[in-house]
Amino acid sequence: MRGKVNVMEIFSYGFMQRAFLVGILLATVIPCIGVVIVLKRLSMIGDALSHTSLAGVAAGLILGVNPVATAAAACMIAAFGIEAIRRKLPRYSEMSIAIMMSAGIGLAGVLSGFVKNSANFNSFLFGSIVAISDMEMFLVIGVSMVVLLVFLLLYKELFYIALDERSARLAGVPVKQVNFIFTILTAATVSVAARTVGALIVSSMMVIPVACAMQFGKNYKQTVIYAVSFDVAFMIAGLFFAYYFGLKPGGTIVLVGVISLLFMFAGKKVFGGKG
Amino acid sequence: MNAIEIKGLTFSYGNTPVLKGADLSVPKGRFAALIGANGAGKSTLIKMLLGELPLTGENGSIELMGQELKQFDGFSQVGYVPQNGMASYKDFPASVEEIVQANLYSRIGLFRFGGKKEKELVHQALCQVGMEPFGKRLIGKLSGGQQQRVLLARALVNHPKLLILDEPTSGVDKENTEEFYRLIKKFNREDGVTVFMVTHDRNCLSELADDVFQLHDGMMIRIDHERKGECDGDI
Repeated sequence: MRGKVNVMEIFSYGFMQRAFLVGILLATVIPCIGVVIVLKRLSMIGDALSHTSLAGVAAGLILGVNPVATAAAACMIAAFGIEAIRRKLPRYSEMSIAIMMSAGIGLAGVLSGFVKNSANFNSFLFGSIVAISDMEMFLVIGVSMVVLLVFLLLYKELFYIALDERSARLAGVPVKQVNFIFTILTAATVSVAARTVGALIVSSMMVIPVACAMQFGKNYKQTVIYAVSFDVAFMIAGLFFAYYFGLKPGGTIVLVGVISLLFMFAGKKVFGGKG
Repeated sequence: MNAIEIKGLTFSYGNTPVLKGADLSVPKGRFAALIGANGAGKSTLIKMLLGELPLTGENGSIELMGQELKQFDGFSQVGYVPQNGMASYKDFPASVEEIVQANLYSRIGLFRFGGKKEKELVHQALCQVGMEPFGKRLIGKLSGGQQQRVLLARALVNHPKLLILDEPTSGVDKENTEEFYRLIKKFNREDGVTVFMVTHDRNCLSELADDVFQLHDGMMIRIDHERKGECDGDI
């Protein structure tokens, strides 16, 4: 009985309730973006955007503007920059990500030297999911709802573009417009997630659950559902471990995901793969 | 009326001309094949034909189904089969049915998911290429030849009037290549689908194609019917 009370203790704190709400929402939305990014073979885009978002955060803190807003602006610029370079060098699309990531890191490094309150800046590196304000929570709720709705509305368009952009265009999919909307969704998701789960962690939340889902999914729909389910499970488990063992939540969530993926790889090797 | 009419097509990458005034006509219902060495401009021609590369008045003209390419709004009548997707589809988490249904986009429309009718069309297309038993399989679990048949089903699901194939059998073994060609020939002969196939493989061209063109030094050469068999063998 005592153990049961201890387990539920985590929910008696308002900050933990908020952390679970925000965490589950982000864990639902991030893999939706992640699955398209992974299938377009642009897995590192999350890293590039989140590093660039740090430059935006630093700029916001220097100028005294809401850092999430400036992070979002930096992410959008970086996302469109990546898309523009990718179109110029279609065969070497990963190069566009490396260029933008380098620019983001360089700019964040320079600007962070001018930030007076470095603790505030550092909180964006690994996030502060247990210390988010009401306004940040509402921002996450709003952005998550919009991203999820648009993802569902553009479900088949995003699938076809990820599969084969040329054939999608010939079939009548407005590829440019859908890519444009998706870029905005990605930038918005990364910037709000940077504040909560951390800029250095958001990209792993995009990729790891998708990698796990691809071990079991027998079609695209299943893969999306599994990716969301895995990310929500990693988030919940990560928050529990972080609370009861006194660990940093952002890093714990990612480690839970990575360890689970390793077990899945091992399990697949032992018991065989999907058909 | 010609299904494809290309006149004086030119294109350069920087200062390097690839196409230097190529002409090509594919009448409706015919089976035309385009051959050429690597770098001859086959891929450039396909990209221009599919509207991926810019076509200005100076580049010559392309008409599809009697309509200028710029004004052409009938791509739903055009089926496109890309090069073997084995590498890109290896771990792609999509079922065969999902891949074929994706091409029904213009029929399903924005913000909607496919229903029973679309599923029936997918079923029919898979039956046409003998891949119906594999509908629930992951595309990456199929052989190269099977994947190409799925991509053919995807092109056929809209009942196209023109099929454009871009080196569809590269990397596919001989047996599957022959089966693939048999299917294409059937759709051409029995269903009257016009076929335009870019290929490296000159084998069987004498039996398969009504017209054979070769891109050489940026120009289009028509290979005489009697000479089609002479160039049997891979380039």
